[in-house]
Amino acid sequence: MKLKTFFFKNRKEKIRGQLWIPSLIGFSLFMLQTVMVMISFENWNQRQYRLTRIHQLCEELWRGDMMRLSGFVAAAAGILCGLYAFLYLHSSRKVDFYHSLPARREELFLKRVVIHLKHYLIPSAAVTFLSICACALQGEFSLKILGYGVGIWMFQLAIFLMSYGVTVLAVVLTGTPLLAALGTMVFHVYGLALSGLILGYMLEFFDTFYNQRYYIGSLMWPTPLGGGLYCAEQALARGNVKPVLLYILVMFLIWCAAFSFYKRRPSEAAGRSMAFPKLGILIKYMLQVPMTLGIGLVIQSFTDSSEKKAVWWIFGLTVGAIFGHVVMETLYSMNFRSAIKNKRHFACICMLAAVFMIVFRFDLTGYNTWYPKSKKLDKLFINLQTLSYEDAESLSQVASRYQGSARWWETGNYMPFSAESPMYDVLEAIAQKQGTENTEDKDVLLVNYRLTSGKEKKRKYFIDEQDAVNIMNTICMNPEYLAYKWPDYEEKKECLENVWLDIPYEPYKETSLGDDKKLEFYEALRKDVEQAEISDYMECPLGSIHFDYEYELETEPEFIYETDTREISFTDSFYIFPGFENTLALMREEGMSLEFDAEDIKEIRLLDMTESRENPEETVYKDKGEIEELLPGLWSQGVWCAWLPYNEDYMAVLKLEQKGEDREVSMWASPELP
Amino acid sequence: MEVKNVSKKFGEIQAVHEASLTIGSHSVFGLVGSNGAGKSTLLRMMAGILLPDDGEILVDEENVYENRRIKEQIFYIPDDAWFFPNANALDMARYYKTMYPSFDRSRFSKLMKQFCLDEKRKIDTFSKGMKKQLLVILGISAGTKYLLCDETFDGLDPVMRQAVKSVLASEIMNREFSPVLASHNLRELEDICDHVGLLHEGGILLSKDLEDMKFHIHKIQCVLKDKKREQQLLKGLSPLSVKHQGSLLMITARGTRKEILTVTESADPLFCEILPLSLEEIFISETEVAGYEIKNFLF
Repeated sequence: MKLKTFFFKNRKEKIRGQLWIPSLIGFSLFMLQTVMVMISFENWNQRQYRLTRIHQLCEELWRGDMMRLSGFVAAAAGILCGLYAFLYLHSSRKVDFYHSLPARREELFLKRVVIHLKHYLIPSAAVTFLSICACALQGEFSLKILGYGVGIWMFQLAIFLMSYGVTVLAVVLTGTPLLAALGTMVFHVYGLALSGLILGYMLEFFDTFYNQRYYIGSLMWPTPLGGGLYCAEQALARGNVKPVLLYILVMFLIWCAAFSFYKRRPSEAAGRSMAFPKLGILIKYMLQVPMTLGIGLVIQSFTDSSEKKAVWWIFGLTVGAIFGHVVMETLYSMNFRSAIKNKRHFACICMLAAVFMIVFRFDLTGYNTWYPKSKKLDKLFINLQTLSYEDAESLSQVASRYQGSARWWETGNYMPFSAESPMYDVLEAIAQKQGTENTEDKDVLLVNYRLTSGKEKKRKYFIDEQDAVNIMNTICMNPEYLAYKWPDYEEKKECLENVWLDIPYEPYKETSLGDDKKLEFYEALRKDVEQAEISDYMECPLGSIHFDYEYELETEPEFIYETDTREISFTDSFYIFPGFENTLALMREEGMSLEFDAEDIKEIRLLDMTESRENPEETVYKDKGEIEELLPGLWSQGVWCAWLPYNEDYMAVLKLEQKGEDREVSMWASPELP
Repeated sequence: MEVKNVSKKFGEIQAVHEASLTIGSHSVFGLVGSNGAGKSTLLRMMAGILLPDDGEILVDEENVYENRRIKEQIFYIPDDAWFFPNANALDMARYYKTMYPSFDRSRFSKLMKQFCLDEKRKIDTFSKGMKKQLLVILGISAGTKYLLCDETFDGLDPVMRQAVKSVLASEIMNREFSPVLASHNLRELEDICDHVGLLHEGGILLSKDLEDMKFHIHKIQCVLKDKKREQQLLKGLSPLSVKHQGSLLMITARGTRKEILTVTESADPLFCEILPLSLEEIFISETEVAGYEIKNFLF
């Protein structure tokens, strides 16, 4: 058909009864875009934000909430248009009317798609224009804002087309409005549900599996809306357009499939459950197998008992298989009595579900015990934050922890190791025993592997005490770990404002040093850190020292409020170890001591709280000799040392007399003390 | 329009089985069959809605299915038609004008006035009969060569039936126009159809020119002197059916009136009368010959 004639006919078609669609779309977008812009500016002005901050927030609004919310509207509009345009296929009267007309299927398809595309394009373009105008009225107009406007409009269009295409496909494949609605819903959330199912099974069966992003948002990417948001995020935040191209390709394929099925769809399919019976069987399998597995997963979660788990699994899978079969057969035949038909399909689906289960249950893919070959490994990264509190603290004491800087880790809190480092062998031994031992009372360690191919794999390992010690020892021997102890030393020195100490046996007392002493302590600690050996860090710290810095930013990009200034302040903190002679000597000069003199101690009361914390067993020592013997087994409560066997049931209370003052100090006591 | 060995199956149900017929121009074709005979299915295939499983349907030697140019020559009126929601007759006319290049708006308006239907009244408020009238008007105004009507007359009152028949006749006289009327009411079709096709259980039982059919089959009522003459008469006639009512002998036989009269008179009857058959009687006889049950067929 000639294009001119086609569009002439298209223009002439009366769409009086369909005006509610573009009106609804326009109204929704108007509320979520234009009105949101106006309300946001109102709020920002009320809070008296600086212009630069408003500018930044305006951009974030376009790239953030407005984009997400309008994406929802676009997806909903796609579903609405898809259903409205093609639901006629489910009515034999309407099919007789339209298919008897002198028009080819391609023309009918194109006509309906174009009409509803216009229903979306016009209001969305108008609203985007209004939103840009709303920004301009507030003084926020730039090429960037214009670009965001065009970008958001194109983003919405992509989501709309994807959602529209998926809906059309669902409608074309089904034969009744009920199945069309269900099919639309299934098509839109199938990816999400499948991802969730696989995630659930991996969490259940693979001890070493972990996904940092357990929230629903991360599962949404295999959906029309979620995929679009993911692509937009990748493009905006990382300049990565490959996902966008893939999204467009998938959209194109879906439309091709929708068109192809529409062309081939028999007119007599109106009123049948599925327009293409053979494809209906495939869809049945694609739905019933996940349904069986999903219900099985839910039901087995009713029990925590490992003995009863197997029974609940079998029960759950059986219920899931029967329920899925009944539902699908009833929907397909539109007759409840047909629920027990097609036993052969039922048997096949049960077998497929069983195969899936076996693969996961017995880890036939070797996921749990997977470990990269050293030749294929570029680097491995240990997540320090996943170490136990005790281990993390011990790391801090080995590595002079300081706030505000994670530059010595390549990414976040991950510590890098090469494939040649001893950590490779330590982790390999740990990886090999995963899935074979009870994980109760074990700590968790997260490890990332970056392969030479560029791929990244993540694993979670359950480790016992010995594993933790091996890891800690290996970390401490890491040359990178030791080499980078105190970066930016010279730069920070210029900004030093204050130096203060944390004395552990007086936990709430802070001792600030005067200006003249600040730099002396700064230099003393620097020398101690540079000269320290591993063995120094293995001792129990005596206290900590903190350096406060203040400096002025050269530019002011991050200001929020009018009262914001360019001055920035932060603090570095360091443990003081017994081997830090320079720092300790300076402290003694100032009359500060981090250690006890046995002469100052008048008595030590050892408390055993294993039986009762309110009335502990007490043993009192007043003899100087005995006191001296006890001191090595007493540890300060203000610091933590991973190498010491702390037990909260054992404490010691020391009565001191220092500089004419009596006071009591609580300390941890070794369980081995008498 | 030629229908050649067309078959259509819906699941396990064979709706149409190797049906063949030819629809000529300037004639009214009546497609007769009981409920479930396959009339609607055949019409929908002819209208290009359904794709035949086997066979083909040709117009001007081109297949109808997915052929826009050929479908511009066909207008289909279903038994239970659908209209745009909240549309009036004028809206439908405008829509059809965009689809059928030969749609005549003035003819439409004229026919609407003739049938006393308001163009601007919402179709939802029309009665069943009025909707059927509207469909016929739209079909005629479309100016197509073929008008396929599926049990269109059933919803019309006798006056409107006559009016529609006269409009169809007028169209046939004025242009190349061939309506195909599907119905299970033989009496209704008898006075309008030129050609009739009988559909039964998906197959075409017969398809003949009506006058030709009537010309070559007659009913004879006679009284003969004896059995011997009766046998002689039956031998000469090759009857389709024979019935006795006392001494009265009723025979349905093929042949022209003259041929049958000659044979009958040779038997020297005491009484003889040759009567024409109605369409209904012809079909009953033909189907009895074919050996089909007809008790649920005609009413």
